[in-house]
Amino acid sequence: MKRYIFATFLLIIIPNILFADHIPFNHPGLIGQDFTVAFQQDLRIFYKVHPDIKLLFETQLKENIHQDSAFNKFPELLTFRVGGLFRLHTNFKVGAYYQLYNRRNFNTGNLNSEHIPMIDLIPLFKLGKFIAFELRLRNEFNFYSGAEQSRLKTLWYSVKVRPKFTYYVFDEIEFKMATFLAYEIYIPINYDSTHMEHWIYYGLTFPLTKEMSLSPYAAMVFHRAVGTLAASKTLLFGLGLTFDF
Amino acid sequence: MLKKLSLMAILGLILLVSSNADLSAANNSGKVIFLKGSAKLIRSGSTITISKGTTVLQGDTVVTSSGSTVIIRLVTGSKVKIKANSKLSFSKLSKNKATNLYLHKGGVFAKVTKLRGKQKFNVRSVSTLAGVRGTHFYMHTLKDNDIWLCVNEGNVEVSESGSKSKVIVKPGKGISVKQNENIEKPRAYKWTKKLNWKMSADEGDVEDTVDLDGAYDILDRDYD
Repeated sequence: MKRYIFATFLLIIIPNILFADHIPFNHPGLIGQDFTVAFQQDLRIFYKVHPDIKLLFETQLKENIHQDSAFNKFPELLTFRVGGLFRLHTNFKVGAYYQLYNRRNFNTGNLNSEHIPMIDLIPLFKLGKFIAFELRLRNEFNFYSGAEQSRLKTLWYSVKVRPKFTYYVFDEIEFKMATFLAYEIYIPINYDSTHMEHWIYYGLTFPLTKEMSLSPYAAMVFHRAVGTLAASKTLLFGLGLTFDF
Repeated sequence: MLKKLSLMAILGLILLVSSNADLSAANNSGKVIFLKGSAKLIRSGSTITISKGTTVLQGDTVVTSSGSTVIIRLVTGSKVKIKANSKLSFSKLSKNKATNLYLHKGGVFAKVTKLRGKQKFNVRSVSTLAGVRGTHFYMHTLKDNDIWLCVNEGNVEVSESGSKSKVIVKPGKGISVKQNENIEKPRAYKWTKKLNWKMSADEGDVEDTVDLDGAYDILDRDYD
């Protein structure tokens, strides 16, 4: 019964994510809102080197369907992340990573690279036997803004807070699928708050083999106005492929 | 003469007492007949590293580490196979009366020889008791104290402490006993077909790799 209630809750949420015009994103200086559609692909490889330690390699690719062709170059985003995830306690994990973040510069059309070490603090709990809740606190320390932006004089520190619910479906002891709902907010701490954005996303995870799983997801990303760019919303469709060795 | 007789009587008494002690120990013991990996035995607060041939006495607790399997033959001829990452106490060992085991965590296979007279064989875990009479079964206690039990041969009677409800589990069937819930009706489970029921190295590889704990460890799953 609980599973059906939860599934119904999620089915109500999905249309609201996709057609979330009513979600406010007001801030001073709002000029107007742009709406774009983007696609994202994620590849993640976890490798367990110890019962409590996993190494991670990740790459992400994002393409934005944008009306302005000068900016519409493939890809909009190409990132690489490496590091490790440590399970310090049953209910607490710590992640330490380095990310090479290449984002399309909207002024020049070139990919601009940023270097971002990051630390994740992740308390997580079981809510019942099949539901996991985690509150990920990601701390990003951007020390290099890229060749085509003014060099950082100080470290840019930002925080991403992401609560996430995941519901697992088992057939006896066999994991069959999971569904997840998450909200994430990106908060610049010591630099321009117009970079703030927030996400709400929903997805599914299907185990293809014991080590491999596929996760299609959909998200609505809300961006604040930056410079001459209006505030915007991006409807993102993503597909993640995860290996867990 | 009298002195000689007294001395012989005393010696005889000593021999009688020690042989009774040996007999008593023999009647309340088991022996490790197979070991893969590493395991330890906790006896009266001391820890002993187990090897093939180690004697297991009443009151002992066996703890297996990751990737380990231990098979113990009890004085009754019954065998228990303790899986990796498990902890089993031999609360009571007797040749002619009850054998009581306590499964703290992990999994144990038990192949019980046909019981006679006052002989009994019980495996308890948390609040669940499995009583058998000549059978072959598997019991597993998960981290959250839920219990799985399935039967290969014979019948197992499963009951919960403080409850009068009992369930008979027959061959080919299994049950899941969840904390604070009634005992389920026994049914066939697909995963039990993957269990390794072998109890002797002569039959081949005895290690069982069905991972019940890992299956339910949803907090260890990472996707992003």
